Amino acid sequence: MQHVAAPVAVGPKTFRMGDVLEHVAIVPGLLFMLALFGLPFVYTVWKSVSDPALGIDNYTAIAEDPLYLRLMANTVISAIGTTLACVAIGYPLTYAIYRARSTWKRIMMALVLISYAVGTVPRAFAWLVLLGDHGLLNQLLFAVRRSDRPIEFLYTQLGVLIGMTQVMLPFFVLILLGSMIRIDNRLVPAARTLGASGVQAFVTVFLPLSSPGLLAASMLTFIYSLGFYVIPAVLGGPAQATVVMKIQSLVLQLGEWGLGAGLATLLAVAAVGGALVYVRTTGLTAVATHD
Amino acid sequence: MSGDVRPDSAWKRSEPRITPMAAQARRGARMKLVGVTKHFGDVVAVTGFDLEIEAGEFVSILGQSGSGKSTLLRVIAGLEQPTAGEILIDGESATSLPPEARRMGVVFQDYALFPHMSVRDNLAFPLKMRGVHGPELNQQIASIIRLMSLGGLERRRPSQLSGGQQQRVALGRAMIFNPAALLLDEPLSALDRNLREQMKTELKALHHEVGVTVIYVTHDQSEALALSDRVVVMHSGRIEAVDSPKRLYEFPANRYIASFIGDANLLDATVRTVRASSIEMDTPIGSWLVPAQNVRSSASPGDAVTIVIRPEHLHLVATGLGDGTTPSVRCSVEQILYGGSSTLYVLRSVTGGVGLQARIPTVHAGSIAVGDPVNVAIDTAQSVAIGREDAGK
Repeated sequence: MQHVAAPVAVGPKTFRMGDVLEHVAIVPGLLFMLALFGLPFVYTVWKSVSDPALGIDNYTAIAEDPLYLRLMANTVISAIGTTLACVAIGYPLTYAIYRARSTWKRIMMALVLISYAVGTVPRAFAWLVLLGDHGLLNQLLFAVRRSDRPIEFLYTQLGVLIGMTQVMLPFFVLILLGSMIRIDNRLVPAARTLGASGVQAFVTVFLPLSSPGLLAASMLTFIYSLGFYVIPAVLGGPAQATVVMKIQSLVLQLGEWGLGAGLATLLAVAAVGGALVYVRTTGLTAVATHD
Repeated sequence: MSGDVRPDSAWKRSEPRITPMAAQARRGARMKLVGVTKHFGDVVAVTGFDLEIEAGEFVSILGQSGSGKSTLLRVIAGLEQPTAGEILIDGESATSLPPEARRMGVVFQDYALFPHMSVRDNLAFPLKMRGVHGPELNQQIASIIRLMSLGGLERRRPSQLSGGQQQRVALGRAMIFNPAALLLDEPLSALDRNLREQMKTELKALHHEVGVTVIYVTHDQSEALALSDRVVVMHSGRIEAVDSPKRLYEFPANRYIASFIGDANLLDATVRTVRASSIEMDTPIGSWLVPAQNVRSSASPGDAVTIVIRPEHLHLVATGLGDGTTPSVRCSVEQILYGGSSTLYVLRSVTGGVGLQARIPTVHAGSIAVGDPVNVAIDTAQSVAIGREDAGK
């Protein structure tokens, strides 16, 4: 981006009203983030090393109990599964929206936005109805499979995956679509005239150009998925318990603020760490800064 | 075109460079479009388009935006399926071929270079799609980089190139696979004026050197006139005229062409007498003879026609002079538009109050001011008569 209004004199001490205004404008947002995100986070970290006593007792307790490791593994596995499912379903869906002509495009966008607008809780309970042993899905499958034994969706990893994927999919699609629509729509036709088949043009031109958006959407989906609470609580069984569920019970039921804060800190570190690894391995920063 | 008048030495110097290229001239394809029609829902973009293009010919499709010229190009490239009609490349039907099988080198308006590939990879793309690799690939890329003067830029991304460089990459990419024809969609419109003039010269030289068939879509008549062997003027999806640039300008076929290509004085006239070599016409500013070969409509006494005279065929003469053969019209000067090499005078005749425009080389312009009375001599041998039925267009 170029600044349109350049100052007459460019020196370190040049006073530019625009610069000041630019900085003033971010103050409310900054304060908001600081008050509602920064301070609580610092307080959480402080709690984890000071409650009930100053020291790293909470962390050693977490490290010594295999339960927490399993919860952490559950959380990460569900997040990875959700992300992969979103890529598998969401990329073709987004591509279809990108390619669709106006009317169909509007209809598909409306469906995505409506499902995005419906909150997680109603969706979780809707899935209870659909996925039960005698729910709609199993009723349909009885007819198809000619068997009366239901597939166990509820209280399994599969049910959690279905629920989380459905919640994350509109989010994923919107982020990916935002980057796809910036791809010049004459590049694929250009590739075709230069001798590429439809598939070749997609693989050599469209896929590489949409991959930064794909990487960004999947990273955000992954991080977001680490914090799921309602879906695993409603659709999963004890084996699908996540770190967030444990934090909730530690803090609200047992009053173990320090231990809960320790887990929350570790989860935040995992999310940031995961994001960093992802950015490093996929070269997302290089793409983002080039843009 | 009137023959090359080059000094002998210059011709001889360039001869060895041109001869081997002349062999390549046969590489361009003959193209034939028969009744090509394209509808988008109720909108008719192109209708009944018939055109034959010689191998190696440079044909421009000239039209305003919305005339259907870009749609036509997309249909020829195979990016749109025509609603009706046939496209023949070297005598064979290509109508149902997908774009990748048509061998059309397309240069899109904003070039459509692949932003994630280097210049080299952009150029290599059509060859790789055709399974060319190894030394042959390298050798062909090297030769196109030489032809398009892109040396040293091979590793750059398109975003790191200037407009002119991007243009050359796009042209090189479209030519590297020896296409049957080059289809250029307003290729110069994204460039600034000086670069556009330079690229015009380069394009003409390139076509001369490579000899490929070119279909050049533009809304800029100066590009079409300067570059083409033939110009197709399109208007609301139809062909309005097909002719050489010279004939299109000097003998416009109808009122639309006369006013669309260059500036024109259009005068309503009536045929008085028909003679063997010329036809006498009555106009609001006098009667004169129009050469028979300049009459592009049926002409029997009493017929209503329109007379076209280009502004450069009106001369300002000192009051009282005149050679008797050309009518001299008394006018007053309403406006003077200075245009560098020439100056345009907006005039109004004293009798009849007819508006006229005269373009005079500035060196001959003298000291005429707005409001001055002038005598205007009309070079009637250059006037063209066209049918009045086009008046509605």
